[in-house]
Amino acid sequence: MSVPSGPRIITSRFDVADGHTYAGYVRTGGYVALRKAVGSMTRSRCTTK
Amino acid sequence: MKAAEIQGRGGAGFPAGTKWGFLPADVHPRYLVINGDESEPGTYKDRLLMERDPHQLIEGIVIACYALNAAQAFLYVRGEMALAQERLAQALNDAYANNMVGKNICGSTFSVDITLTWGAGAYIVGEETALIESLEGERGMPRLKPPFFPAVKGLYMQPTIVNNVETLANVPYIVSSGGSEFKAIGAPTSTGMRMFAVSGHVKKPGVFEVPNGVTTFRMLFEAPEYCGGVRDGRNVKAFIPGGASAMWFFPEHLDMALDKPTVDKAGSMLGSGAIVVMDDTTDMVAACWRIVRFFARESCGKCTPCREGTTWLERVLKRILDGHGRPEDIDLLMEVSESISPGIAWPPRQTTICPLGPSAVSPIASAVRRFRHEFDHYIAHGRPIDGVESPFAVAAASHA
Repeated sequence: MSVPSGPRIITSRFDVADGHTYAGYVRTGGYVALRKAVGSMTRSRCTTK
Repeated sequence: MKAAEIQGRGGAGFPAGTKWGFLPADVHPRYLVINGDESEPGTYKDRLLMERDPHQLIEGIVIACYALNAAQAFLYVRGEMALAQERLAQALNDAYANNMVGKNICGSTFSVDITLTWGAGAYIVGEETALIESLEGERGMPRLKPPFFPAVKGLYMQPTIVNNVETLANVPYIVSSGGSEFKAIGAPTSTGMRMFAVSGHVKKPGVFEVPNGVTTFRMLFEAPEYCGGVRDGRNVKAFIPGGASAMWFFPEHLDMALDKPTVDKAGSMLGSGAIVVMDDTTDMVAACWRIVRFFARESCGKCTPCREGTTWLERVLKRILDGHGRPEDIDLLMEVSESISPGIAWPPRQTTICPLGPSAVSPIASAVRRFRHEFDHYIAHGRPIDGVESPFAVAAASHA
C-alpha cells in the first residue's frame, strides 16, 4: 500500500537522542526561526506569512 | 500563520492565524496560554512533543508572543506528565540562559516571560475557559461564552489567546519556510502535516505525523510504516476518528481522508487527533460504557444536564452490562442523551456550558444506532452476543 509522503516537520527530532536538549536543538536548526522573526520580521508579517 | 492556513490541533480545528487576529488592538496586558492539558482517552501526541522536543514548543511560543505583542505566556501542562514537566522546565531554564526567552531576546527589543503551570488531573481544564479559571487559582470550571470569549475577556479578564501544543510546535517551520510552503503540504482544506495518536486493536499503535487531508484512515491503520494492520488479521468493526468525544466511524469510512471538512460532513470530527480502533471482537456495549464512565467521572458538576445526565447514562449502561438491563433502558439512554444534547445530532447542540456533556452522548448515539442488537441481546440474555470479548464475562455468565 503506497501512502502520501511529506516532510517530518514537528517530529523530526524524535529520533535524535539529545533532541530535547538545548545543544541538540540548536545543532539541528533550532531557534533559527526565532532569530529571523525578532531580527527581520514585523509582527504583522509573522501573523500573515 | 494566515497564509499557512493551519487549523488548530487541539480539537475544534479553528484556523490559528484567524484566531490570532481576534485580539483587540492596543489592549494590554494580553496573554498567550498554551493548552498542554492533553487528557482525552487515547490522546498522547502533545505529551510526546513536550517530552521529545520541548525547545521547538518554546520557540513557537516566543514567536507567537512576538506576533501577538504579548509579554507573558503561560504553559499549562497536565499534572500526570512528569517527564514532560521535567524536560520543559530544564528546556525553559536553558532557553532563558541563552537569551531565547526573557529580556531583549536575541539582542532585540522584544521581551517575554513564560510561566510553567502544572495541572492537577482534571480533564475539564482542557476546555480553554476552565483552564483559564485554573490558572487564576480557581476550581477548573468552564465560563459562559458569551461574554467570556478568551480573546476579549480571558485570563484576568484581559485579551488572551489559547493555543494547543501541536499548533505552536508548527510555528518555527512556518516562519522558516513560509506559510505557502506549509500550505502546499497536504490538502487545500487541511494543510500541513498532522500528528495522529492511534490506539486500540492495531498491530503497532503509536503517534504518526502524516500529510494532512490526503492520508486515509485505511492507510493509517494498514500501511507497514504506520499501524501495520488490525491485530490478528481481524476486521475493523468501528473506530473513533478524533477522540472519545467524537461520533464513531465504521468500515465504510475507512477510505475517507483525514480531512477536517470531509470528516465533519460525514458526521464526526478529527478533534484531538486520537484514533481508537475496535476490531470485530469488541463488545460495543462495554466499549460505550467505558467512554461514558470517563465523562461521568470527569464532569465538573457545574451544569445539571451533564452532572446528572452523564451519571445516569453510566449507571444504566452498567446495569445492562451486569445483566440487569430492562427493555426500556435503551429508550432511557436516548432520552437522557436528548436532555444533554437536543436532537443528538452532529455538530452537537448542548444544554450545557461546555461540550463535555454532549461528549458522553457521542458513544451512546454511535453504539445504539449501529449496534442496537448488541444492547437488545444483553438485556434479553444478560450477556453479550457470541463472538465478542466481554470484559464482564464472569458477571455476565452468572446471569446467563
